[in-house]
Amino acid sequence: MSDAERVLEASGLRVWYAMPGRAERRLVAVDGIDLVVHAGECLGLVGESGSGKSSLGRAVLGLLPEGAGEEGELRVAGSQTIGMSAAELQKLRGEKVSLIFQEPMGRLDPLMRVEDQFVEMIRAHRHGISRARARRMCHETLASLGIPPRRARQWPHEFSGGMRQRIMIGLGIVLRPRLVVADEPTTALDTLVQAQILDILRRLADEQQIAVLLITHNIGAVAEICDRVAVMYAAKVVEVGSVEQVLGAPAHPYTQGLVSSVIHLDTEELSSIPGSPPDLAAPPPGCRFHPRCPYVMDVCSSVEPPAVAVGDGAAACWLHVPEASRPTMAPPRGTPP
Amino acid sequence: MSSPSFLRVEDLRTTYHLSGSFASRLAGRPGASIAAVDGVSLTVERGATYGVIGESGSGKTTLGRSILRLVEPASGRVMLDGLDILALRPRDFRPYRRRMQIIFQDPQAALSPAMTVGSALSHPLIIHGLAGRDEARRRAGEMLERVGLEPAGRFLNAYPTDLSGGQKQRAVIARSLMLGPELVVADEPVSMLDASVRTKILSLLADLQRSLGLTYVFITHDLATAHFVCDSLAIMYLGKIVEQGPARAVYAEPRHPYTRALLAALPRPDPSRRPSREIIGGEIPDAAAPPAHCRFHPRCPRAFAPCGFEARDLVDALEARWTGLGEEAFASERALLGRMAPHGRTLIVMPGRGGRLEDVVQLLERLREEGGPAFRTIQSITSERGMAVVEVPPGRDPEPVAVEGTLVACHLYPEGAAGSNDRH
Repeated sequence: MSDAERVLEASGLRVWYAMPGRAERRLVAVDGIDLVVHAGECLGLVGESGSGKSSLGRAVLGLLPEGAGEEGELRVAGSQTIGMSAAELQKLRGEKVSLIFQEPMGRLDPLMRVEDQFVEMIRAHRHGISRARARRMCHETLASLGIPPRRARQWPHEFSGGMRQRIMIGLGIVLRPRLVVADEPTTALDTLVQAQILDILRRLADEQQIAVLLITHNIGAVAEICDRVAVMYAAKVVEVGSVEQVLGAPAHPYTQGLVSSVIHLDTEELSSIPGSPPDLAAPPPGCRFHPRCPYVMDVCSSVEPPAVAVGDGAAACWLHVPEASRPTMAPPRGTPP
Repeated sequence: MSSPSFLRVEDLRTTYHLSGSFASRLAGRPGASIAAVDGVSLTVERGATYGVIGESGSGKTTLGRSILRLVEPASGRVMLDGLDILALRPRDFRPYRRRMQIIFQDPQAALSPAMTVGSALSHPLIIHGLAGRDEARRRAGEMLERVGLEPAGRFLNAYPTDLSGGQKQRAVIARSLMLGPELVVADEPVSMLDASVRTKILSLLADLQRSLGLTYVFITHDLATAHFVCDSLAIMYLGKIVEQGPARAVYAEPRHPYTRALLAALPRPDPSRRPSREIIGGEIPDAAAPPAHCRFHPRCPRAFAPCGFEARDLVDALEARWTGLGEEAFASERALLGRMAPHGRTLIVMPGRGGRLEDVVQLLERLREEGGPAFRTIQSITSERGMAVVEVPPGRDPEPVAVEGTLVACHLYPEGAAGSNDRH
């Protein structure tokens, strides 16, 4: 996998939002993240609400809202996207990278037949393509996603939720992008349709060598289709590695808590993580998970842990740093703020 | 005489009326109606948790609301301790309303943003005339501590926006318990919460059930949560229960193909056991024109003649087939088959422009041999006045049949032949 092309590469990526009424203060939603997604690979980005995973997704697509800022390295299909103009970003989206949202109806134009939306989108990006050719591309794409091409002349409201999600995916892949970012693509869908859509995403990676970034809180979905997984907690990636390793034998105490709180058919006892995630406007010092961590040590509350290689991945936790290499702690001075 | 079950629902039907088009209303024609709950029967024992499981459009939420009379069922009975509460006049029903409460899915929407948590909890007591203002507030504080919102003083004066998602759901649960209910209908109480919060709320619900002797009707789309929480359960599809029984029995051996499909689609958290699963296609059909007889038959991998195929199912199956064919094969089949007119169990197929009737009949014969469940049910293919006429046999409703402690409504389990009668 490491030989494959790096379609998405983030290093030291930071994303922040200005806090209303307090211009000098920032809410840092993504705080110095390194992440790589290769061609043909499906990377799951998991975290709970407020962990910053959606902000990361929006940054990748150049879709951060007004008032947000970003810095660091962010390369999509070889181009550094931070600092790109709106026009360049627009061109990048649709051609090199596309997005699949949670609620497809809000993203389709209700006043336009599905086929016309495809034709317009294709011709906006590829000026030389004839209408007839664009229609053919639309029909082929729809058929590959299990939608009868005769339905291309129908309106978005005539399709069910799962069909609309397929149409969204179709619009996203008809120009053969290198990267697909799927932000909670199955949350609004029923169990069986969810399985169908996950299957489609996996096939995009396998059959078209597309890099898929699946942003979700659904660990089961990640286990089902992803090759690797990155776990976010309070704006940081705390663990990354193969799905087998991270979900099977998690190294970071947060990942351990998260994985064991997932209810599955073999669950015999409920398990949860004490406390709740921190306020990103005032995150705790040191390791951000330390106030909730069952293994907390002195060092955790004052020094941020480095990412340490664990198996085929990495975890940012002092437990995995040999004791000799941990900073020696001075006795605590006064009370923490 | 044995005492009656705590809650018994018998042949419950709840319908929603569609307003229909403007023209049809002008003409005085009534709109269509949808049976969101269509002949549901179940029994819940006191102190137990009964799961109602289904996807959206299954009718599970309407069933929960019908039990509480938050929507009025069209027919059937809801017996609480042996008394049919649907037969009560609204005034006589009021004392029963206190005994039955609901917890909604979205705690954000369930709490008024303009009301403190303390007022939200005190109101039910004051409205029902059960306590004065001060007494109500004292009891609200007690209840907040009971659901883990401590110190109560801080939360009594808090507004919903001050609370996290998990805290809001705790407040919603506290409010539902203020009147001392015996039955609580919990409608997807944890599905909007993050995993680590979810387990805390489920633990709380279990603690409250033990300490207060509550009976739960637990509505969810999540089979894994239901497995953990429920003593008994029912699986619903398009308004009907397809399978019900003790949770242990249903999970140990799911019998209805829909239950099996739901379980197979459940993502496994352990990637080393990633199964090569067969994914059921299609989606829940339009409830205004539900499939005949067994409503799952158009999507069922094991459907056969009695399940209720109609001509429209053949048209859908043809289209599904075409999306999987190569362009050339699709073009030639599409050209051969002209207009198709489904009428009930009869499908009339005209040859396409330049197509020959013999070839049409031959293609249909071939589909009957090699196609999926819908084509296999074809009873006859005849040529009449230049058209091919395809007939499918009549189906019948699958009646619930007792199979090893569970009730299964599926023709794979025929009446009188209880047991593991596997046809394929």
